[in-house]
Amino acid sequence: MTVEEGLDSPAVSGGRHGHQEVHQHYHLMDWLEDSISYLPDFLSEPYSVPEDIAHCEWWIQDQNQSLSAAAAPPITVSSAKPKPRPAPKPEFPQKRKLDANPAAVQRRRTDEEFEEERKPQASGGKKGHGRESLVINSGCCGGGSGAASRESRWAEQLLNPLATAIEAANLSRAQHLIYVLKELASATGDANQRLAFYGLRVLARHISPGSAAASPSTFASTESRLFCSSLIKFHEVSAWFAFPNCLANEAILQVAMAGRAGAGISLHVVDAGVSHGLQWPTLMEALTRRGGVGPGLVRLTVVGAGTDGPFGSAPAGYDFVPQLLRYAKSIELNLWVEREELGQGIRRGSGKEVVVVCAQFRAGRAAAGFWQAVKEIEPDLLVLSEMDECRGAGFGRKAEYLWSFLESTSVGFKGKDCEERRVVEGEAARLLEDDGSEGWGRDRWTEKMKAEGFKEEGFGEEAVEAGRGLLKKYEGNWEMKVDGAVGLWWKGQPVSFCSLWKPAGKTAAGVFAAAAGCGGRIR
Amino acid sequence: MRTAEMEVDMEGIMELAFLGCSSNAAAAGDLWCRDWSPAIEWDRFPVDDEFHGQFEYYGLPCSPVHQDWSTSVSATSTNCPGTPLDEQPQPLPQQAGTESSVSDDEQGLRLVHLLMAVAEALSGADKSRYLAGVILVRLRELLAAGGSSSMERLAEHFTDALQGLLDGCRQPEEPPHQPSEALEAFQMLQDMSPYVKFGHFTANQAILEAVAGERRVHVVDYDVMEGVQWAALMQALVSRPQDGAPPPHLRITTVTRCGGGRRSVSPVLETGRRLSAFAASIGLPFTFGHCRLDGDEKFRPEAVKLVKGEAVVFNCALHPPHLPPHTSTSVSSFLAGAGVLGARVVTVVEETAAAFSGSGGGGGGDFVGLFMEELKRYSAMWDSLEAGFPKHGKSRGVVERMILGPMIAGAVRRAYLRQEDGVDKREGWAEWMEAAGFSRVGLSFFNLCQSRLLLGLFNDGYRVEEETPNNLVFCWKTCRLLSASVWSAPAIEWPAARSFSS
Repeated sequence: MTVEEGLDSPAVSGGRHGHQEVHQHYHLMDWLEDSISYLPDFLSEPYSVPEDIAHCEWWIQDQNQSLSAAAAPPITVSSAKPKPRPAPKPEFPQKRKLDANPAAVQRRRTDEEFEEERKPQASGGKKGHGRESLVINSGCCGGGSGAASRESRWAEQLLNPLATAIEAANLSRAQHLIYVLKELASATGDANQRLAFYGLRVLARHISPGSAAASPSTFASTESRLFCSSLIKFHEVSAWFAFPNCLANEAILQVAMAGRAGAGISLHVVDAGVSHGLQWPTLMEALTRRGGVGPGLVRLTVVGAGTDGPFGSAPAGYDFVPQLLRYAKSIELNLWVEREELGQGIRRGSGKEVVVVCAQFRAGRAAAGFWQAVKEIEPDLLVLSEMDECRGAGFGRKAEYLWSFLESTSVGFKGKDCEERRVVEGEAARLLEDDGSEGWGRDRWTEKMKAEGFKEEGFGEEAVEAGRGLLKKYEGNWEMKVDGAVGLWWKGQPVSFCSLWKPAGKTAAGVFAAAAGCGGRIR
Repeated sequence: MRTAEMEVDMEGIMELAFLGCSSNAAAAGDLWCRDWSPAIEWDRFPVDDEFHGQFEYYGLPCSPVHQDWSTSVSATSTNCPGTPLDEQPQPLPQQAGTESSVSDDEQGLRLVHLLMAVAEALSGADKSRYLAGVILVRLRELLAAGGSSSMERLAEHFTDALQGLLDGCRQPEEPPHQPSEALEAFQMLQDMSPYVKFGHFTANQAILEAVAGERRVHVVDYDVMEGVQWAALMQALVSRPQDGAPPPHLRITTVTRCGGGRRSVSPVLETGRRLSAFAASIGLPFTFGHCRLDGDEKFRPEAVKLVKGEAVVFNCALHPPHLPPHTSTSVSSFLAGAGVLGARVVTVVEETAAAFSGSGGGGGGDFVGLFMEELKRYSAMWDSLEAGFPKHGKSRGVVERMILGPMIAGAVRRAYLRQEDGVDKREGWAEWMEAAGFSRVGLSFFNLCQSRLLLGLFNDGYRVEEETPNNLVFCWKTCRLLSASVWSAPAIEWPAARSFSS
């Protein structure tokens, strides 16, 4: 008997019991090999999109009309303005109702729970790492921008490599990261999950352009009422826009007040910003309250300043003008509102007027003739607020900037999810896809403005104080830094700045002389 | 009471071992084919009745094994073209709808990507333990929500292993289960897979051939564990046809870590006691000794008592299940000791590096590659057990939980430490031994045949490869699991101070 023969018989009979299984496949192993390189059809499995924003209960009032002048204004700008300073109060009576939204609650627990849950147990390091603790800045606890806080920003740790992999056309790596991000991303989770969600959405589009994964809600795609309530809510809970708006208004107010001595002086504000009207009731109220006499007439010219960047667009048909007019009437302010295209017929009024151009977060995408048109108006004051995002480069910079937004917003909403939050965040996420602008920092803007023939002015003491006062009402991680312009910072990172400019040819004294015939000045 | 019970278990194991090992007895004879014949009946062992009986015996719940292995298996099988044994694609079986099979795959894919991502987060320059923690939480969510498919069970063990890294326990925890349970599971693994016996057989056969005709045989063993291997060797020594000559005297010295001394000694002594009892029962003169590694994990050859005229053999099995993580220092000093003590032969059984280079990930660092290697290795183990015992989900569960789980934890930890410490690449000990002056001892044809026979007793898919003349590699399909190699130690002069006891 040969060895081989000897081998055969036991083998056959030995394998008997499992024989019929031989052709079955037990391939965890093979499968594993295959799957690592398996490129999923990412497009065919779009993200589950947050529930339709349409059914936010908060908003279910009795009617569903658009914000026509006749509509009762349950949440219009004016309703929020009986107090002297409509500044946010971080406790919201409506909040309870939000909690009652069962879908939101059930789908994802609240942010706080979540972040709690996602904390890795930091039970001591191992080995050489000793006690490398995992201090986690889950939005709610205090600031600190150290390594620990950076480490806790895990979304960027996956998104940035993904961006790199896409750039390097490393498909398998990209696909792996997409898989992981897909598992961790959520438009309704904590700030990291949200950043992962929005970042992944934008990056995945590079891999498969034309992917029609349902978009998260943005301003433009939102229903008017929700859009409006989102703006209001956001101003209440976050200093992101409220702070620069407040500073701008204070500056405008001071120019206006400086000119009030002469009777019949009107104030003309050219609104080239993204506030969608929300900025003005505060100013109007302050004008009547503080001004006593006040300018005889307030003209507000709302201009479209160019492409609508992030925060710039609004739902079709949304119009805040009737609201403003109604509010003005209620406080007996003589308000005149018009819509114009910049450069088309915006002129100084025939009488004496103080002209202020207020460019909030929109000048970066201004159309070609914007600055020329502004100069032609010869404004007495130009307010320029812009994002201050000169950090890093490329996708990483944008992601970091969006992180600041999402984190501060998460803190503002106290970790709770709601449709308003998602609308604002969905809109902010457009910052990521914003390929056009390079993300100028403040220095770059300063250069640019000087080149355009403007010179910078400082803020008055009062304005700075007002800003400081406002900031106190928000979360402690917000800071302001005064340096000519006033910067808004979140957790040690610059977020935006608000600056004042005048045409270089005009001296301050000249402005006020022209406007009011007196020597009032803004320092 | 308890010890008596243990003894019964142990004897059971040994009997099983003998059934498999009996061929060792034929080392010098030509009747090995006949010797094997009883072993053919071995295939009775794994059938249902036996297993159910065992479960009853050990007080495990013994409800009929109704798990749908077939469905979960087929689910993974659908997208695996091109494996060697797959010539006939099977139609989708039974109840398993296409839906569920897709989702099973999808689920598996998610798990693998997440596991890999944890490994990535724990390696490389941009280590982020925080991210690792976040992904682990997600893994747990998925696992909790999922079923208990093979991939999910495998992923669960790897998740645990990674969690262990994150939580920073460098030492393995004491196994929470009873030693008797572990023993039981170990026995099951032996029944279900040639994984354990492959190493024992190959090493024992090489030892038997090296010490043929010797009157005194001394095995210096790196961590004896349960000593199952030696019961088999004893049996072989006794039945060695030597023209009526009495069996040789066998001395086994086990080398163990000092490990704090509290709990680590008693299992060793217990093993020694059992081995002694067994040797006595078959009439083999036997001595058992114990030698500890130094505090710094170094092996001191002087600590081993030698008797003049005995043939010294070194055995180093680095794969045994639930072996505590060995440091490379301890292994290298142990192997070096073979030269000092003039060992006839050195047998080494170790895990092979699975051919899983070029993992899709790319980035990461060494740990990711090693980790994926382990994932692949254990998925092969999973597959092999499932292929052989598709209807024994419960038994496999026990083996997975009691044996493979701790092995995975250890393997992942070692991979991680390898990255951390920068020591000891994945090449294995063969390179080291060659560099240290060991020379290869060719495996006998008999040894090779014996391995093939052993594998033939189990289901298709197991293979043995003769990589080099002194090295057998045990594979499941394309995945290399274990390597057994035989060496002779470099001649080293006796240290002058060396003294012999007589």
